[in-house]
Amino acid sequence: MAVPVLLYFLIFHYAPMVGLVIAFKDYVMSAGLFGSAWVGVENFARLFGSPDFPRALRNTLTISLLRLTFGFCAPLILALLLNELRVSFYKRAIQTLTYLPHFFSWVILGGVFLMVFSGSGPVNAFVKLLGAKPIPFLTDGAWFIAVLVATGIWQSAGYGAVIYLAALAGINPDLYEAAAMDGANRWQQTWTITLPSLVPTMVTLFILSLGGILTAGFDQIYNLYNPMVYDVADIIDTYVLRRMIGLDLGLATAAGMFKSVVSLVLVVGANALARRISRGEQGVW
Amino acid sequence: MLAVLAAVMVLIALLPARPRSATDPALRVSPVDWEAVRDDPRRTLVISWMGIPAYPEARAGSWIQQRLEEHFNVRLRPIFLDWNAYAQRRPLLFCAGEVPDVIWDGDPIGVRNNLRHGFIMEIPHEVILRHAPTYVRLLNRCGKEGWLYSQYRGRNYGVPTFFEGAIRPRISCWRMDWLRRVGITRVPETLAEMHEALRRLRYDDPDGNGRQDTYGWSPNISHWSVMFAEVFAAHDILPFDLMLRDGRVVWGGIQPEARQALALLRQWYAEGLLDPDFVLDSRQNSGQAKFLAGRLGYLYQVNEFDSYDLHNPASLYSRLRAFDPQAELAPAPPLRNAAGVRRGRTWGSAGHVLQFGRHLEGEPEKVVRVLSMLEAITCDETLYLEAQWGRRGRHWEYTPERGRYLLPPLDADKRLRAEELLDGNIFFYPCTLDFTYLGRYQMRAAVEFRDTYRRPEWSMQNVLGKSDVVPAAERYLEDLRRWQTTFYVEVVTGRRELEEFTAFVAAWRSRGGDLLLAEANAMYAELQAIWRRLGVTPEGAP
Repeated sequence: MAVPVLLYFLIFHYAPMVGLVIAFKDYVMSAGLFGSAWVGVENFARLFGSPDFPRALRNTLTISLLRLTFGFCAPLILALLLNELRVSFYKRAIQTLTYLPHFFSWVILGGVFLMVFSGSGPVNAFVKLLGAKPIPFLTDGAWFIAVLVATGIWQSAGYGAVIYLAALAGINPDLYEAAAMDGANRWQQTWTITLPSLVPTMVTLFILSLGGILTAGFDQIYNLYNPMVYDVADIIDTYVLRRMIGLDLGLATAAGMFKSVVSLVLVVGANALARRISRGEQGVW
Repeated sequence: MLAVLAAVMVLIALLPARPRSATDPALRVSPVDWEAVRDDPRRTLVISWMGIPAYPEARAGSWIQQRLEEHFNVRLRPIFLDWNAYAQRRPLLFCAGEVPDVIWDGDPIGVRNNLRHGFIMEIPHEVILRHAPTYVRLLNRCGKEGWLYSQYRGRNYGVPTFFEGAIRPRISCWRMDWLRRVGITRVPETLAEMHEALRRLRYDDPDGNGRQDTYGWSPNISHWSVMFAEVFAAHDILPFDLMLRDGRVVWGGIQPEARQALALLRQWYAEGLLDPDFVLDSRQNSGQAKFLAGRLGYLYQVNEFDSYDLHNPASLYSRLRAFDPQAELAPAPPLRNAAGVRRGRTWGSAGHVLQFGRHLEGEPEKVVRVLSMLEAITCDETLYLEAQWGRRGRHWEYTPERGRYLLPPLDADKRLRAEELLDGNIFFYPCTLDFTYLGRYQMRAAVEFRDTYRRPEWSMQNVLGKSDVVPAAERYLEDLRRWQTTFYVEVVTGRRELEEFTAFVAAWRSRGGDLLLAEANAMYAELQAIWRRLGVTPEGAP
């Protein structure tokens, strides 16, 4: 039974890794992967040597860390709130509404948010009603990052909550019954039973999230950014996209490999840390 | 595991490396002996042809394709790509070994990519001149900068295309009813008049609704070529292009006149005359929507007569009237500069590039046949019109009042039109001969419109046609343009001081700009040499 799965991973995930050698080659398509000349670490030198790269790296890390800080808890909180709902129709409706945005493309969402947060959009119309000046949500660096993080959470929290809801369904109901008999209220039950039971899921998701630390959300940023916020919104992916105008596949592969190596180090490191702190009880492997 | 990974990476990195220049395909010598190549017109050749048709619904086997196949004794195998996907799909096709015989490319950088990846062959100027002399003469007359688009390190890798009529400047339009309502009786002709018109459109309630909810202008900055272009042109500057000054190629955006233009725009923004949402309007392309909705009184780049034609229900004017039956739209020729001369940007007539797959080094007679096709179509008005529009009397007719119009059932059947590659198709002959032939088939009103509002003598264009021809452009131009865009917007909106312009110029030079300019001057000298070799005179052609 495991053979198809192994084959899938072998063909679609491990075999393509051979392509990483492009990062060390002056890749010429007609010469192919093995016919192109080796150029050592020249592609990496070009990647790191550009004056714009440090800024792109800094922006990527900033946006990702903010997403991780504010976005990690959002699905958990949403799942806990949904778990407390007792009217099943209402619960299902809310759950559907909250995870629906996950399926919308950022091409569409970008257009919507550009309209919603523009100077003449509904949010600023409300701000003006309150007697305040319009807020440059999308043209001021700090506000733009806030919008990125907030809309990112809005889009992904519902879908992320599904995993926690599955974990919540796996908690033994006897624990809650025993706690109730001991006089524990809902909050105490959440604090002493629900959250500790969710820790393994949280640790796993946190470790996996660290793997995406250098992926700051290209689709979202590309569809929202503008010349006024390039300084804070130019990330590694948008930087590489500009280099791709010359079909410079060596440099693009070098950038991809850099991201993968950093992610691998972070995932392995976080997993080791989790295992050490929990004395071998937590971690992805 | 990490240690193993690190060790593998170090090992790979230490493998003997060759410098990038050692693998430059431009150093390769073509094996074709063009003197010995003979094409027998009686022999049927199969030619695959990749490009972008006017319609995404285009199908192989169209009427135009069959007409050309019959005339030139060829079997054409069109490969249709579309604008949105061709940059992604084409490399995949090439990697899969599907390199066509003829490859259309929009930009000089695309030509260099194809060359770098070993997909295209060299074709000397002399070969093109020998087999397509009339074509070359027309190209030399109107799109002679195009020779640089196919050039790399002194060798030629394609046939530049041209659009004879693309030498007219872009123009703008105003809400004339609004201007009259605020006491202005003709469209602004100078920067001072534009300033006054924008001020009144903002503060004098042109729509008469009692609210201060209108702006004159929401500048479109969605592309560098349109960004504040009319104001810079009135300062004799193309801010994102290479220009000629005192015999040297310079970058327009770092000239003192660019600073003056920025100062003026900054003043207009500070006075509240520009829609503060213009950056986001550009992102959403919503400037036109605001114009139609009665929020703006001025719109840039409304160039064609079609936009002003009230008989056409899809025209800008008709759509504006649908919102406001009293609306009046007035075309505005380019603004006048300080010397009173109108100035406006144009792309120029040089178009794109037709290249030939490298495998044709083994079948060079196909290259000769394609060149013969280009020559024959250029020389034969009937054949040219049929390659563009189909057959007169069967597919279309012409009257001075209506211009060229499609005959039934094509007039009502878009799909059929697309499948027959009709209606202005430029796939197999990707040039337009506006002055040579097409001018005779235009609507009289459209001709008068162009001659009144878009006169070629007002045009300004990049001295090299496109800045991308410079090799350093690949590495620096996109970043420099983007950085310049941000700086300009920040100066105009008051986020940066105008005095920072000097530091901007110095930084622009140090971030690759100096190298770009040095190469641009070398390319300009190379272009002069090509022109001498091909007999281009100051007027254009021998």
